[in-house]
Amino acid sequence: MMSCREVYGFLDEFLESRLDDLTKVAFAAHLLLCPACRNYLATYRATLLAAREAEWADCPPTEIPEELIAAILASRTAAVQNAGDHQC
Amino acid sequence: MAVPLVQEAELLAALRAGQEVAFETLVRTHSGQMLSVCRRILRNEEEAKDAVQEAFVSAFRGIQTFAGTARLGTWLHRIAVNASLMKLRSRKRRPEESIDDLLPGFQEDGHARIQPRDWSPSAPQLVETRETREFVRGCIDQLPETYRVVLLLRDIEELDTAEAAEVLGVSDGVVKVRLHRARHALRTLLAARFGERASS
Ligand SMILES: [Zn+2]
Ligand SMILES: [Zn+2]
Repeated sequence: MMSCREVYGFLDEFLESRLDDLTKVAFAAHLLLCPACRNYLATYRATLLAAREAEWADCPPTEIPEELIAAILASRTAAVQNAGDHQC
Repeated sequence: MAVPLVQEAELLAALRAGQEVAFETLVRTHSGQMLSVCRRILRNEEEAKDAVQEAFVSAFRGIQTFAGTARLGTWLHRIAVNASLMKLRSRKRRPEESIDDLLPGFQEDGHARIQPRDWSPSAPQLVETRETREFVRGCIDQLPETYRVVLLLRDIEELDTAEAAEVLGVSDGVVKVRLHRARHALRTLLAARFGERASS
């Protein structure tokens, strides 16, 4: 029987469906019999979702300040001019 | 932000031809997205803006060699990630704390030391308000830097293992181990909010 420790170790492979068939069966059997690991799996999943949502929600692709756009375009012009100088 | 492929091909051709207006279009279309990437990685507005600017400088330089097989947005996203990582590396390094205290502990027989409760039904609360989302981001920020970065690249910026390994200059195995630990550690930090005591 797979131990709880091993279940914890296989969580990422499980979530990415990368467990081989034998391990998958042992993993599923353990979860069936172990409410603690079921709880852990559910909250592990919830953690990943919360992280993504928290990082994405308040940081949408925003309007960018005009000064920054101007600075970026100016840095390109400078780079082009420098390249030109070297060619001469 | 999705630009139709036809328009993107035209834009790319104009960029390669060195048309000024094409560069401005590129910057206006993608800079917002790039700024949010840099903000997530750097957590510092000034550094994030610098990183975006540096990212575009490398993009302008690289546009002739850009293969055109990836979408421009994906290519720029990667460049923004790289520019942010470069900034991170240039920061003064503090000695990194250990992540061990945040990892689940086990007894001799392989059982976890702490019996996890299922707080997942309450987990949506974590992202309900700006304040709770800030709490979650604060927990991510508590991870030791090398772990925080891997979690961001894999779970938030959605690089795959090989891509994350490449930008970080480490092996795939190192990325997997760090990601695994980072996720467990973040879970421990979030669980504390639901009354699950941290392992010791
Ligand atoms: Zn178990
Ligand atoms: Zn992104």
